Amino acid sequence: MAIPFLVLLLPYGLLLLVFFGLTSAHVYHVVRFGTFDTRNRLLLLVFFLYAGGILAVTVWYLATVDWSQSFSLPFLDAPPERLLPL
Amino acid sequence: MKPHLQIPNPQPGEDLVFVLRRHSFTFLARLTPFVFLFAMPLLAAIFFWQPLQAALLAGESAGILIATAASAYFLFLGLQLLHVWMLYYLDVWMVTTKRIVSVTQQSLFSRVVSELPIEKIQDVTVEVHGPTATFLHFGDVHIQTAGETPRFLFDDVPQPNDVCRRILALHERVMQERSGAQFGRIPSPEASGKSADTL
Repeated sequence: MAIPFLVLLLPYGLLLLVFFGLTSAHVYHVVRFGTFDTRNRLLLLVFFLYAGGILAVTVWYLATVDWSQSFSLPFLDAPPERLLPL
Repeated sequence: MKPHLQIPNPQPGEDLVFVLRRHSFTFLARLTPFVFLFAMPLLAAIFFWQPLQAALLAGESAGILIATAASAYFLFLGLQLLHVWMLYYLDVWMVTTKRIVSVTQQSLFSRVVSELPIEKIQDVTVEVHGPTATFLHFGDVHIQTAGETPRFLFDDVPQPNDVCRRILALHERVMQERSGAQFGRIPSPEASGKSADTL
């Protein structure tokens, strides 16, 4: 059974959703309950640059992939008698 | 310069005297595991560079999995660092002219705010344990209150002896104000020229 490469992006997309949700909650807490002074702004800037850098490198790499391809999992293609000791 | 923190439930005529956070050494100590968590995958990548490069350059499923897993790992590691900073930064003790307010950010969605009127202070104890705390001048300040209330604790705050002195001076001033108000003898701090900044 051929599985398109795009399927591999689903778990990553879900993780990114969780990441952005938690990041928003953290930024909200720091701004709402903290002072949001120069130190905090600098720290958040460094964090966003770090996260943006990682995302940029990931997108740059994923852009080189040929997404029309697919892959197969050997155990899905195997006949049932080879998977189960019948 | 006065801190710009907002006092929870401010009372009329209440001024912020000083704000305390844990010593920055305690924050740096919490960062130690992150050095390993950042270094280990990088060392592994250097060690397995040949097969890793081959998998990434092939543009196949293994390369996609490695790239997305590494990306998610480092993103969440950065987020965890932000979390540690947030817990350190939002754990704060505010000493005002009327109360001591303790704000404890236990986790992302768990926050405890407790307060203690200055006049209820009975005893202030300073504890400095260990060579690090001794040389870097940080320690615990315990504040014993009247009644069955447990001791208020400022843990790992910088210059604990100075904090103790300032709290006792503030307590003394509040008690003087109180007795002055009762007997009409002692002038208010504004009239005597003392402000919250002098404490």
